[in-house]
Amino acid sequence: MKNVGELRDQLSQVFNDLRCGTIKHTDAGELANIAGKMINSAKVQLDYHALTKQIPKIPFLDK
Amino acid sequence: MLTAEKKAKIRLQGIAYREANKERIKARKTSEEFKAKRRETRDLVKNREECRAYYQRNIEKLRLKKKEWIRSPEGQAYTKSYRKEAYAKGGIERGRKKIAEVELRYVRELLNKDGKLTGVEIPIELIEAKQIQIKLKRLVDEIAPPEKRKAIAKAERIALVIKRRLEQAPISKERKNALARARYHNNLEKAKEKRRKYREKNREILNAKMREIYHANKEEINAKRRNISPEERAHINALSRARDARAREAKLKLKQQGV
Repeated sequence: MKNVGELRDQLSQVFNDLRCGTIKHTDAGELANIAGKMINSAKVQLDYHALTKQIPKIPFLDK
Repeated sequence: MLTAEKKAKIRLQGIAYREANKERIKARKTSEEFKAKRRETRDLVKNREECRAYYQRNIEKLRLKKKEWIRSPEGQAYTKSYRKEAYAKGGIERGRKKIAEVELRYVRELLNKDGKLTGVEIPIELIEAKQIQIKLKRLVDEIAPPEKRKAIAKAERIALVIKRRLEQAPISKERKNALARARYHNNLEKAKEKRRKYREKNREILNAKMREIYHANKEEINAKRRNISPEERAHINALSRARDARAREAKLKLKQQGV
């Protein structure tokens, strides 16, 4: 997984798998938790750049 | 600070006042107005205690309810008057819908809730990823509520503890032997390697011991050797040739390594 687009795709996949019952709810919960951490880290990076008034390229947010 | 003398003086004054106005005080205490005031105070205290007890009883429920409430769209503080107004306009219902359907605006608010920064533009991709993550989390909660997940985790922990205790419990001799055999077969290669290293390390001592044994039992060993059949002799010779070849190889390897 290299960027947020792929993260989104994988989360959708997990969502569907959980609905079908091919994945355990504990595993899905953990994956959702990890995804939350990744999103928050990207958010922290955005905040940091806003504070330092920079406009760098964040590869994770590029498609 | 009041001195003891002054305190005594005030006390005496109080007694004198009560003595002088005995009838008046009695009339006041039995008046309806006084009784009503007293009742009111008592009710107030009771009510306050009841409120506190209710809060303690339903603390979790109230916390969840609070979470459900929305804040004003303009970022106003959450107040009772605002809530009333919003409720009248249908804002609260709209807010709840917004939360239930995970609207982009709600996710944006969520992502910005900790940051004190304003004007940070959050990319739509990130918001959408967060949206899916929230939906996934809710689905997990729907399938297995947090209480159930906690109970499962607890049961798993208990099962693990029981398993460990069973492993530590005294076992029968047969099972012990079987386990030892299994362990031995699992570690056969390791054991061979260990033995080889030990022999290499203690080669001199072992050879000396062997020589000693040979000299002590020389007659017997030679007699045995003389009685060996040609097939057995050939087998022994083959074994010794293989051993010599291995030794030569090892020596050559050491020489190549420059030891």
